[in-house]
Amino acid sequence: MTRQKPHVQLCSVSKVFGKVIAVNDVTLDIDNTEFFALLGPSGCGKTTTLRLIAGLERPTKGRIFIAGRDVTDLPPQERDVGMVFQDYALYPHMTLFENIAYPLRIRKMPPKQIAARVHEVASHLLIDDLLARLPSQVSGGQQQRAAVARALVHAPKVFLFDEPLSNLDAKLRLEARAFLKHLQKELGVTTIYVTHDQAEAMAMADRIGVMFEGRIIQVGTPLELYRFPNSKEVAAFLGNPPMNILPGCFKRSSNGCEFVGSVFSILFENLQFEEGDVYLGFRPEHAKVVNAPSKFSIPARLHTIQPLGSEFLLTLEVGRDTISVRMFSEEEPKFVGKVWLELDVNKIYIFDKEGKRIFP
Amino acid sequence: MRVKARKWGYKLFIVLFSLFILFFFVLPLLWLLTAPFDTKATLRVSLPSTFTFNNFRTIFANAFAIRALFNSIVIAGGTMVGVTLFATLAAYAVSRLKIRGRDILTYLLVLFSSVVQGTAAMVPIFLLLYRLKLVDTHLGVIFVLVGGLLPTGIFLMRDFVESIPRSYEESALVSGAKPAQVLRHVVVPVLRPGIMVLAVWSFVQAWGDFLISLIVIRSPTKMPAPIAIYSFYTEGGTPVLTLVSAYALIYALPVVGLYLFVNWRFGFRFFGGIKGSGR
Repeated sequence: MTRQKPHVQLCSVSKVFGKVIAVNDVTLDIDNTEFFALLGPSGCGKTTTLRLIAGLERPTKGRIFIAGRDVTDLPPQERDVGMVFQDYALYPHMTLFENIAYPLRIRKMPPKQIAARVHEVASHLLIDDLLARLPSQVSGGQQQRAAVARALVHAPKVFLFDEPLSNLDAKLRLEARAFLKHLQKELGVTTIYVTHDQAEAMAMADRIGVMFEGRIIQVGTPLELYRFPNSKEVAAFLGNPPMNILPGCFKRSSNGCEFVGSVFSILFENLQFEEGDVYLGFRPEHAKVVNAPSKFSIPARLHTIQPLGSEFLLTLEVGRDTISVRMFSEEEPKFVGKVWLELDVNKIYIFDKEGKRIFP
Repeated sequence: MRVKARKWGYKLFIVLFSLFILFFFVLPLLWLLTAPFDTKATLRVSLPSTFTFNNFRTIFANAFAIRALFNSIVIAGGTMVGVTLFATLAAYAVSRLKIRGRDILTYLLVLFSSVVQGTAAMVPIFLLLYRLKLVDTHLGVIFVLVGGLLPTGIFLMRDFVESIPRSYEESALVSGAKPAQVLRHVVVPVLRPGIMVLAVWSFVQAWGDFLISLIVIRSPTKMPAPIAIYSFYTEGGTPVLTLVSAYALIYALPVVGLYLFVNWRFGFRFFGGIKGSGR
């Protein structure tokens, strides 16, 4: 039996609510069995994009394909997708068994087969001894597993997750990440995962699409995005804490190019840039705090030191800007007041005044 | 010390005032519990001088009065079904479809509902029912009552519907359910407490109706209990208190029973989610 390769395709899809353009000309290709994360700040249109794929919203413009079939005009019940909602949306009057069985019951599967399939899925998700309970009688993590079970019980062509971990506490969230990633790889079902948590997206996804103001601004593997963000929006979104970005401008000089910031300037030898306003970016792990000035150092004031166990997170003030630096050290660093920030010049980023990356 | 004294004074005032109010409400109820069992009931509350069930015997022997109770059940039951069904569906539609100015629409409807059952509308309503050949039918009474109760019913129900997260319905849709299945499998079961409140409320409203039945119903065999109670008046127009009170007690029991049943089975939750309370 030949089956068309199931994958999801969005062709210049837009969604307008009144005067608000929630999704603006989004084109995406999601491969078969891929774990794809849609990442962005709240209100960037990522959830709307997911709802468009699920069929809960109709696009104003553009076409959507699932497994090679044009589903743009199909209602959600004919799209064969499984979705996990942020609040899980488990029906409060049904037991976990009935909840998980619901998609099968709708498909008129014989009760015996339903029971077998529900038990199979539930034991896979380690909730098979809770099936007789109501959603209100199990914990948040168990509810989440039940919601996942309900989404996958009918073996859909695509899994859709709408911030499924945001209602869990921090420890459970880490467990659930690993669990979901493992499950997805095991089942090999194409998955689209919406989140505003960059750590979650980086940890779980094969590829990430970063959304900003209704547009997809960059698509790539987690490391691609981390190492080569196309724009300062992406750079400022990924990483924990994200990249430090300082505004300034370039001035040419005889032996290179000088970056002039608010309260400092750095000379980059052997580098040539256009003169004009730019942004200088560097990751918190690519700078060092020292007690004395050196060649590539920036004067700063120490604001706080947060011990995180394996590392220390330092917050510094450079002029009016706040930046973060990660320090890997056994001892608590003893800095007070005025310090210098030493940059690793091989790891800096330059963005032009529109925010596009021009270096490296 | 002064503050404490004032606090106590305030508490005392509240208690006394509550007792005063309570007294007013409890007195008629006490009468309703004592008078039916008294051979010589008066308008005073007093323990029966001689305890008797004879008053009830007289009433159960009165076929007209008993038939009136059944008529009341038909009218109240019909109204309950009509109001519950239509108010639930309408509230769902009003809540889920974004219609411009729907709040104003609902408030206007609630406002106008008092007109439908008000005295001023009785002549046009009678004429309308006459044209529809519904005068002297229970259906006619039910139509008018349903029409009058619907707006308030929709208003009440809308709060219940709005307290249901939309993701329930969306998740059912994605699971493959058709809109009618979503309603049957998810929305109605989740709404059940609200539907129960609405059903009891509309039943009680219709059960207590006097004016509309008086105007619409002509034949004595179709009259409901609130009108039939007048058969326990003497020809001179004075009530036979023993029989009136006994009949009133019988008349009150179904409503009390209904409240107790729903409360036991579902627990009352008035107003599913008036904003800001209990969320």
